[in-house]
Amino acid sequence: MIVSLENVTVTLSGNKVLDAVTLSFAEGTFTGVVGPNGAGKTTLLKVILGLIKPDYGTVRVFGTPPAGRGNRRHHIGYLPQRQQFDRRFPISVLDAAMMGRVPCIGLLRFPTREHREAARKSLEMVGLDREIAGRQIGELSGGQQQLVFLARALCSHTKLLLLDEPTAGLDILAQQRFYNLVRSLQHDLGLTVILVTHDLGAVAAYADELVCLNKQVYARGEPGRIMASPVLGELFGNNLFPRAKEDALADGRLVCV
Amino acid sequence: MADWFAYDFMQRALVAGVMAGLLCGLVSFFVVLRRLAFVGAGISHSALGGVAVGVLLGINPILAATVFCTVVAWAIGLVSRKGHLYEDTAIGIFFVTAMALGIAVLSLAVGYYADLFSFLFGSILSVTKTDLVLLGIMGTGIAAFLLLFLKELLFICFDYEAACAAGVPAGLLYYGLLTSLALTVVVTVKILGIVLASALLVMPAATGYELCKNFRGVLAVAVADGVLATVVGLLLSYWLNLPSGATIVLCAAVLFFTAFLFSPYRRSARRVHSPVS
Repeated sequence: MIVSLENVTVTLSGNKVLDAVTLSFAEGTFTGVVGPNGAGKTTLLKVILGLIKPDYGTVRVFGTPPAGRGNRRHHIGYLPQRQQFDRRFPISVLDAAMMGRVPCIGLLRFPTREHREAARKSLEMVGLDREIAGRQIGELSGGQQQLVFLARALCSHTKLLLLDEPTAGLDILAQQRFYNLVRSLQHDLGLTVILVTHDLGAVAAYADELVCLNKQVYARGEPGRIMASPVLGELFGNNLFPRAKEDALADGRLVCV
Repeated sequence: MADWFAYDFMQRALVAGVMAGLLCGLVSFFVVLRRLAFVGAGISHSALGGVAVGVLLGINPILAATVFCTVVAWAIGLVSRKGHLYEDTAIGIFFVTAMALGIAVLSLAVGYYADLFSFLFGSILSVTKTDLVLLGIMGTGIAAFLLLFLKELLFICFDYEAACAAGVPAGLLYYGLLTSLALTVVVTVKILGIVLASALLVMPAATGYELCKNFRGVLAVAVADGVLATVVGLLLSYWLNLPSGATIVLCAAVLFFTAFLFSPYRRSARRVHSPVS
């Protein structure tokens, strides 16, 4: 297992955000983690990244505790929730992608031509051509920016890709393109993908496995089974789930088992 | 150029001005990028508390201000990062407290007011060789830190969370940045004074922002702007018999507003928004 959590409990500001969560993620799988707001999805990713230390329980990433990963840090790509940034922030698309190379370059060292080339390749992998590399990051559309950040997450020998609500704020077409791209990259590069989202219908169509989280793990399994189970109704409320399910069934992305 | 350069004090002032301009230009890049302008203003004003404590304890006021400003910078960082207070609230509280402490303590030190004036408004013409050495050592250290960790500092300024996830020691570097800011304020206080020191921590990079889209260009313009404003301001203050600190800041302001008016990005934006006739 690339990632394993055992009995992980996290309390933030007096509220229990994760409660005795036990989960594992196998190499080369695409897992969608779904749950309502405040379910602890982002916290789960931050625990895996070592940004939040659990109160109880053990976390292993590549067989070691997250904080002690040391030289394996560069095997993890992370795409945080979309944040508003200064559109005039003075970096080019290539500079932004190069930030993903920081764990490979190391402290007190400067990027070389090899690092720049790796960043360019990453941009190409996500479908951004070389001409765009010199443009200021703030000049791109939201969808293109998200692709740049995906390239940044991929450009450091990434084996584990963590995506936090990556399609929030994107239109339907851009969302589908994004999920298709992630799926094909996962297949081509043998990535292990953990994707956190509210977008039940979409993730069910692309993920190998779904995890339903609301502070605890309610269910996990193949998307078809999960979408057909009553657990989602409990998690999201009965009004939301049938619509997501019906949408997914109607456009043929989902077949209930 | 001859006559003014014949004076030792002018030579020292010029060297100090160039070094301070270089340093402030470099530091201002991160101040603007990380939106620390108010932190810079807060730290520079709190230098008064350090100067006062130095006077009261009979130690070098600049040394006391160094320690005091660094502690205030860390306190602002700690309180705001831990979420106890918003950053601007923390700055507002710390800097007025430090200033009030400074005024209260200085009122006890009778006869100190002449020197106080030079700390408040700067006196580049009274820079000593020791001041130059101090500026050189501190400036080299600060510049080395900022340039050696440039890629990491850029990363945390752009996306703090992703930088943390990538293993960048973001907390340590943030405090390093605050310390650099505090030390720069202290060495700049001698030249511009407590009241105006924060100006050169903002305007050079703000000018660079108006003219360049890439951080390399912004950084280069900021450093050049810092040196140009300081040197031209110093010479104008000598020729026109004006206060040097204020003249330097006014020169930086002229450079900024010129860049603002003729910014190629603003002009292109105006073209895009102007109605077709």
